[in-house]
Amino acid sequence: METGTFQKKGVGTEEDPIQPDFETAPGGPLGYQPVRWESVGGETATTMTVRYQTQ
Amino acid sequence: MSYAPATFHAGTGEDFFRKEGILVDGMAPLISARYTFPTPDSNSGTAITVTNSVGKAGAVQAVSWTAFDLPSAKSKILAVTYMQPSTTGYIGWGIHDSTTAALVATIKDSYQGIHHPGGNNMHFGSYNASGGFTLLGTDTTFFQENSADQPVMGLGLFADGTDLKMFVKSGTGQWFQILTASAATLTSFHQVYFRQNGLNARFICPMFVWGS
Repeated sequence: METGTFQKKGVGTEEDPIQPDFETAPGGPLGYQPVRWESVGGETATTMTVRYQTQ
Repeated sequence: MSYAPATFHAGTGEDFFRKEGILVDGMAPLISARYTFPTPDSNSGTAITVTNSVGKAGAVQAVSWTAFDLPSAKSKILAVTYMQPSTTGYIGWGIHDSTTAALVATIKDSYQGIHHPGGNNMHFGSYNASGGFTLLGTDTTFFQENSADQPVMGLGLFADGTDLKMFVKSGTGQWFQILTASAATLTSFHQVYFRQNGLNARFICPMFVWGS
């Protein structure tokens, strides 16, 4: 598991919830959608910090 | 015959949750439905019909919840029950904060843990005061299908301030923690609710809620 901060995406509905956009990591897109991730807090208006399973 | 506490508590998961340090001294049973399903206090969407140990949703597909009021607001909640999705797209638990009125048409100020066979995952998240929904964790490595032949699944949701955890038990397997996250700051809970979208989903005893 690694920890990273990502931009938020989504409009906040159940169909399109607010969630991390794994294509916007500071070091570039992850290139994959993690099969498992969890928020670790520190959420801002535009970003989420999450612990995610690497490939 | 010897006394076997692990076996005694197998149906509720109480032994597991105590061993894991989730269910601790000071948390009192708020809803204890070992054999008889409790009567819901309110609902929206497709209603569930209670028959003995089961609350079964109707066939109509609709975004739905069924709420149970707690005797007083609590800051720490563990809610555990069993469920079978049938063909429903999602099924799960919610814990509603008391800073807003009781649930009405839309869900606000709550944590929610969902078994989501329709989305091939299990996930949890939070609704803010405006009803906006934020995912706080997703696991696509464990879920069951949304079909009538799937085993009954246990689902537990724990909230203690910013600490949110979800637990699962499949069929005769063991309870285990599937997700944990640092969540929003909901701290005063006065309702728990079932979440489903109709399609004959079942909620099944035992149903237990502890809190402090």
